[in-house]
Amino acid sequence: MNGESAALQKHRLAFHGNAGTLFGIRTVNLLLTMVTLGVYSFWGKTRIRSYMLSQTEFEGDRFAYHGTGKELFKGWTKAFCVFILPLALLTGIVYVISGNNEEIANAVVSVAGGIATLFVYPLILVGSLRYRLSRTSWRGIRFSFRGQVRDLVKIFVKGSLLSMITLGLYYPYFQTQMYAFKVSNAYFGSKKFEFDGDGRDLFKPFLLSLLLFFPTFGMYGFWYEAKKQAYFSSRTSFSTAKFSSTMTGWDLAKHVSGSVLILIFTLGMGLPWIIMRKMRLLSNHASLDGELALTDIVQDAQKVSAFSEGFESIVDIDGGLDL
Amino acid sequence: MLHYKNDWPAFYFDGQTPQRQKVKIRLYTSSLVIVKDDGSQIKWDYGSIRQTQGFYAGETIRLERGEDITEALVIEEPDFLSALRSVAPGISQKIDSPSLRKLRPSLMFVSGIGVIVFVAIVYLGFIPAFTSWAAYRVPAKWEKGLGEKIVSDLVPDSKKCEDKKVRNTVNRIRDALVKNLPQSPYEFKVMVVQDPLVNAFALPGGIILVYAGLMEQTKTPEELAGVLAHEVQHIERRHTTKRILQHSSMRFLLAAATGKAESLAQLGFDAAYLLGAMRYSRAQEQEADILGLKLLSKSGFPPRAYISFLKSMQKEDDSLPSYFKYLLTHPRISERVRKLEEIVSLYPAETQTKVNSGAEWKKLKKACHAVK
Repeated sequence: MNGESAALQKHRLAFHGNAGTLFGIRTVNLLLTMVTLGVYSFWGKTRIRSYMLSQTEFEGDRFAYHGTGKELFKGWTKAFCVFILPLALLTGIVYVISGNNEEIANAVVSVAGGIATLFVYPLILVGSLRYRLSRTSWRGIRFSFRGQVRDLVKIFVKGSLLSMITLGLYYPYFQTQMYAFKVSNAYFGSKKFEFDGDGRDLFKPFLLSLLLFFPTFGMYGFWYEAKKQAYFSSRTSFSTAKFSSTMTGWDLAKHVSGSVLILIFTLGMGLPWIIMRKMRLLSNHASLDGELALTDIVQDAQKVSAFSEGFESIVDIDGGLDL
Repeated sequence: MLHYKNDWPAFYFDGQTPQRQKVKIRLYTSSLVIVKDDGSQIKWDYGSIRQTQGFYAGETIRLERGEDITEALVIEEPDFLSALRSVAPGISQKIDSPSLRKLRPSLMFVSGIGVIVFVAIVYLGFIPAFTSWAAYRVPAKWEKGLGEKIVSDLVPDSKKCEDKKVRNTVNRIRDALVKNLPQSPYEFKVMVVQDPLVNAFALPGGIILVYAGLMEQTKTPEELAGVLAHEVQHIERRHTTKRILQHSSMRFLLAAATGKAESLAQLGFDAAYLLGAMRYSRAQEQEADILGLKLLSKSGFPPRAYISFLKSMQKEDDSLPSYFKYLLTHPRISERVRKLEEIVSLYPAETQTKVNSGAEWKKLKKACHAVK
């Protein structure tokens, strides 16, 4: 095979999952979670992640998930004792000290909460990415995430404050830096993913989406989102292959509006079908283009606990992997 | 003896590199042997193996060994699992049985029924019983604090009607009703709000807000007495406190059921939750209607006064489509009137408690005219 045709190779994900099977797993999970007042949810979540990954195939081999419900439960318990209980106690103390000055107490709690979020959110995000990637493998080789919390705190604090000060104009730069952090610290075995994008390339499209927001009743947001995905993908590479996304704003608009309608009219029970729609969208529009050079990759698994993952369950933040 | 195939084709991953090695698997009674293309062999004892994929039809089978360095075998032939179970019966507990897969739809169906039964027991049985028990154990002082907080948020001082004649009349009606509730832990206060809203609210702890719009809608003071009797019963029966406890219990149930609430699924659950919460609310309105009528009569007011007030509000309510029945927090007025008509004949019709004459009331009810 010559170099030119290798560059044109498109490698896509194939998803073999079935909405009915996922619905069955979720129904059993629901019953067990209810009768155990939520305790089973950790095992249930693990089952779903395991199913979703095992149904996702790349180049003839399926992904595998190695996490356990027990790890998630332990992580959650630790996070609850280390963060939530002290936080609740501190909040109570603030209100008791403030006596009848409820406005002062509310202000103190809000400001303290805001500051804490700026630092805790990066902690949760990094911990969650580290845990989930370390428990995911393909062809026996584990993924890993090696980003440091302190680096993300800098990006997050700077990005949040500048976005506020510039009334949102800095946001595309912030989004790009967050994405860069996630991708360029992700590894498959010993090899890392690369990203060479720059926020300034998204500034004009973002500005256009702001200007067109009200005239299009917010619908132009889908076109910006699709453009952003395409840009991020095109600047992400692994070894000699580059990612690409052919999803358009119209594809995304159809997907999201259809999903929302299905969920509302099925009172939430239609979620498995939504997930299948999403996986189909991904496998139809996302690809890794070029030659896959796997021969120089070796196992380089990282030891990670589920502590931050447990905290993520409490505060309901998605680590960005949507599994 | 079951006939089985030896030399099962498979792919082997050594856990060190992503290389896919084509191998053959030979099954023995206590172990399997992996035979590579170059003839070298690796033995896996069954005690060290776990199955991690291949639980669903069409899915490749995956066996793994090891923790830090995990080796894996991927087998595409679906008969492999049955063969493995027959060669090594001791491994049955660790290996999926394809013949039991056909039970999965039944398991899903039973789980689904289980969920419905569990939710029905909790929603129809446990939550009402728990909230009834708990509501009467919430100190009246806490309820009063909550009610006062709601008033300070809802009613600015400029909108509180200070007209002396109105306050005296309204307080006389209140006293006539409340003297028939000697066991009540609440100190009832009626506040007239200068707002065109045609409504009245019972707040926890004893405060009743009556809006000027509603006062102007009444034809006689006895009709207002009917409305106040209804609101007093909401407070006496701790409906708002029960509603807060019901809503918290339902939210807890939904949070426990969903674990981490996916934000999109939450849309669907919110819809279910709202529909469920409305059912509780309608039952409370009915209870307040019936007990309010009883209190009205006991206090010497003609019970038909309340029915005539409801009828005056009926026209607007009737214009709503019938499917709104499920969306309203109160039953349709026509339904409320019908239910009250069934029991009104049990109560004496005469007026024993006189408040104002019709002409006096016509003037008085406009004294707290709605301020925009």
